[in-house]
Amino acid sequence: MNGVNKESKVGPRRMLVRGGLAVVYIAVMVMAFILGKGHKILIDNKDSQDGAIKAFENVNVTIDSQDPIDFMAGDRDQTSVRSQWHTITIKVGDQQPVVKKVTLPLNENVVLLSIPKLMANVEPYVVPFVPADEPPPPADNSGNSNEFTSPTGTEAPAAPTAPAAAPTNP
Amino acid sequence: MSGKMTPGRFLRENAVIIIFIIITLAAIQPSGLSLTYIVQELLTRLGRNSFLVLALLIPIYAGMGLNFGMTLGAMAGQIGLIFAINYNITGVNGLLFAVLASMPLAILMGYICGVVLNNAKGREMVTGFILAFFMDGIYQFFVLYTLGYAVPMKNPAIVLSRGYGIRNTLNLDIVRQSLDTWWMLKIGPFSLPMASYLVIVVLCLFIVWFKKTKMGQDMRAVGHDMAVANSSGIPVNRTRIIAIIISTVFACIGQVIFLQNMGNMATYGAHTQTAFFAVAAILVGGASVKKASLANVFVGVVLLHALFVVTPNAGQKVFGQAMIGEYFRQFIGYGVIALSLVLYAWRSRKEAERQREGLRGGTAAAAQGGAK
Amino acid sequence: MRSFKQIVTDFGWPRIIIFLFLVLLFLMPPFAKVTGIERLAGVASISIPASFSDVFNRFGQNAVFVLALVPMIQSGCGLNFGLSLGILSGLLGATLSMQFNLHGAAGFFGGLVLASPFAVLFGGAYGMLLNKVKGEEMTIAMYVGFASVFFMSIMWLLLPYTHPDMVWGFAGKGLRTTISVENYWIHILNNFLAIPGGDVTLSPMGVKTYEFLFPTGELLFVALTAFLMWLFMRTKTGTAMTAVGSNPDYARAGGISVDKMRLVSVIISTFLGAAGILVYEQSFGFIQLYTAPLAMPFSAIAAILIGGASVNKASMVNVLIGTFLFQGLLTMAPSVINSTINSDLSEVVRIIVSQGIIIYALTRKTKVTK
Repeated sequence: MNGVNKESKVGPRRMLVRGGLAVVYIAVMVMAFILGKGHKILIDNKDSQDGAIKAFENVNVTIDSQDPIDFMAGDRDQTSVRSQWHTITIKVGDQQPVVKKVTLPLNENVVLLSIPKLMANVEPYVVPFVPADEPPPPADNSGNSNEFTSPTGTEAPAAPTAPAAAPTNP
Repeated sequence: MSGKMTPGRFLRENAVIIIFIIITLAAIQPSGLSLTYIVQELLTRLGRNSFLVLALLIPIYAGMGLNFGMTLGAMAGQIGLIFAINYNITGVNGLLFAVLASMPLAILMGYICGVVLNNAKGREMVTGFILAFFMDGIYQFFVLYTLGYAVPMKNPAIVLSRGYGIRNTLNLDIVRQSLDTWWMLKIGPFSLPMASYLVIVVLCLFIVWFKKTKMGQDMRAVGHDMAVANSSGIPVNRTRIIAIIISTVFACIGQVIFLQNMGNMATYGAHTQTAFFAVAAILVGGASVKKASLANVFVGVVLLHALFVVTPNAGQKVFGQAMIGEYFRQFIGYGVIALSLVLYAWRSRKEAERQREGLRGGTAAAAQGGAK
Repeated sequence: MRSFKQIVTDFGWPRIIIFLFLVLLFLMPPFAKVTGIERLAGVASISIPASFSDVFNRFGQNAVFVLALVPMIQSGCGLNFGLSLGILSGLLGATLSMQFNLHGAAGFFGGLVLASPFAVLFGGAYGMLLNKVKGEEMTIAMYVGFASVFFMSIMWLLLPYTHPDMVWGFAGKGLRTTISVENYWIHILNNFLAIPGGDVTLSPMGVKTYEFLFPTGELLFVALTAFLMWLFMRTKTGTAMTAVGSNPDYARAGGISVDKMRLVSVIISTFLGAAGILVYEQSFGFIQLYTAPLAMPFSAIAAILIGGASVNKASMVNVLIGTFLFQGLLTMAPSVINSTINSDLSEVVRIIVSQGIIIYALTRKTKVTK
């Protein structure tokens, strides 16, 4: 009973502190989301769709401090990065390396980065990757078999594999 | 623990620990495992499991027994991880996101659990256990039927091929051991996951501090005698609910730590044994339904897991069947919980009898009864 | 004169809701889509006769388990979460009967006889344990049950069974996870005086299966057991047991040995658990070993609680109504739900319903406070 009374006497200062905590909570969560968000970058060195921008003959790309990757015309490679902002060092042939800053769209897991477009500063050089024909994920029906109130989960001993087909409960 | 400590009494009070040490020592030889391997395993498992076991402490202080409802927190943690994987949030940030995203859910679960347990005073443990089963049903419904159906999922790799529901096993590669490897201390042949240990130490400090606060004192009072606490103006039900909420939230964080170490997650099974292993560990460590300390937690984790490390191999070597070791470790886990509960119930009954006699018979008996 | 409201309160809202839900489920099949169920149940559609047949069969299959809970509730030991001990004795009896190559009725009743000493032994030890831990029976019972299931899992691998129908073919030792009783005592009770009806399908093997089959023998067995239990509860021992449960101090003052009565109730419960698993197996057709008994006590407990029993009071009516409602729900709900929304929700529904009702019972304020 007393607790209820105390609860109702929350002063403005206390409300402020609580509100502040809630804001901090959400801010930390958003920060974790942005800083931890992993992206898979597909790096392209291909002609653009309309053919206006040509792929490079030979280009060497370094993302952040990862190992440099060599591309011939028409190549595509992939790498995984964390967070949105990246420094990309591009070295075309024997020319001086060019450093570019790239911001990835936050809510995409897989993006396509076109090196020729980036060098030509043609938007959009980063596009969300949409697979042409999505391969069906491997069959997995295991999610359907849940033991009724099984107190034995992960570490449950798997029963010896039965040679005879096990019957299902009627 | 006042009074004379005779060898007989020592044996009785530490029966579980002694049995454990004997079985483990006996099993080390036939298991054929090197001591280095066993110690490294224990160091890893301390980081992996201690947090979950610590989550049991506060409800014990509040007199609510062993919180089998901690499974609810574990489920919340798993839902958080599912979302972290879904949004592809990597590393420690992924863990942080999982914890923060699931914490409101854990608080809600803890609240529900607390309200249910308040309606089942005197049988909290069995009710908590059944509640975990019940919530497992809700969890399955949520994860197996609504995720990807009512809640859109971004990452097709974690969704069942039928288009909704999460796969049976979730690959946690992007957060795998991110906390453990954040600061890995190498000493000789051993590597110590210091970041995980640090988190555990912080939790221990929190518990020590919490016990000294007003709320912590109230909890002790409620745990000691609800009627007395109520008449002295402590809101009993509210205090009990808060104890359970704290425990559930810790279980949620603990499950995230546990799973990041494991590196993959059995979506529909990982939580089912959380409470079982945690409870077995704290009981092995010498805690009882009413009394537990930080030391019980760590002693228990080491003893229980030492046994778990050696028995599968020992079973394989002695009987030629690995399955026997598996069954044996389940048997030991459940057996030890049963044994501790029996010993505790038996002891407290004897004590009640002694006290009753003390009231009847003269001062000699009263002194004996008061010694405890 | 009891008012309508009083009757409703006595019967309990959850039971009324479940009853109405069940009636609804029986009314729904004609409207349900046929597609989903075809794949799942292997039948052309949800036929009402087949559903009834199923419900009766499952009622008989499980009623003895539920009955087994009554003595312990009456004697104040609470819900028998350690029913697995009885189930394990029954499994020992069943496997021994098969090991001795007993067929037909001899196999079934032989199994029962062989199970009895184990039931008395396990029940006795279990009862003595529970007498030492009054007030904490349920939690401890649950863990004793779990531990013994795993202990017996080790035993199933180690015990020197040799019958080729039971052991792993390649190793020649260790019992299989599921053992078919098809050539031994399958449907020995079900087919006794069974009343067939509906369409007849002839399998390639020449075995006739009926759309509707009333398992007379099984239900007779259940009725007989329930009657004996009813009778027992009215004997001197039975009433003493109830007295112990409702007021131990009063019973003690009346010269009844509380511990002895509780012990007797636990042994009877364990024995009925053993009988229950045999009835279940002869109908189901398989002996399930290893971890299978873990979940069984929970369904039995859910059933008796749905029937209106509380943690400290249960009657034959609770058993019969509860088993019928619970098994009816478990039979009908999955097939109807599956065919209407075309999704395999059955397991989830099972868990939520059965565990939900146990929680309801555990959290209900009981008149007798401890």
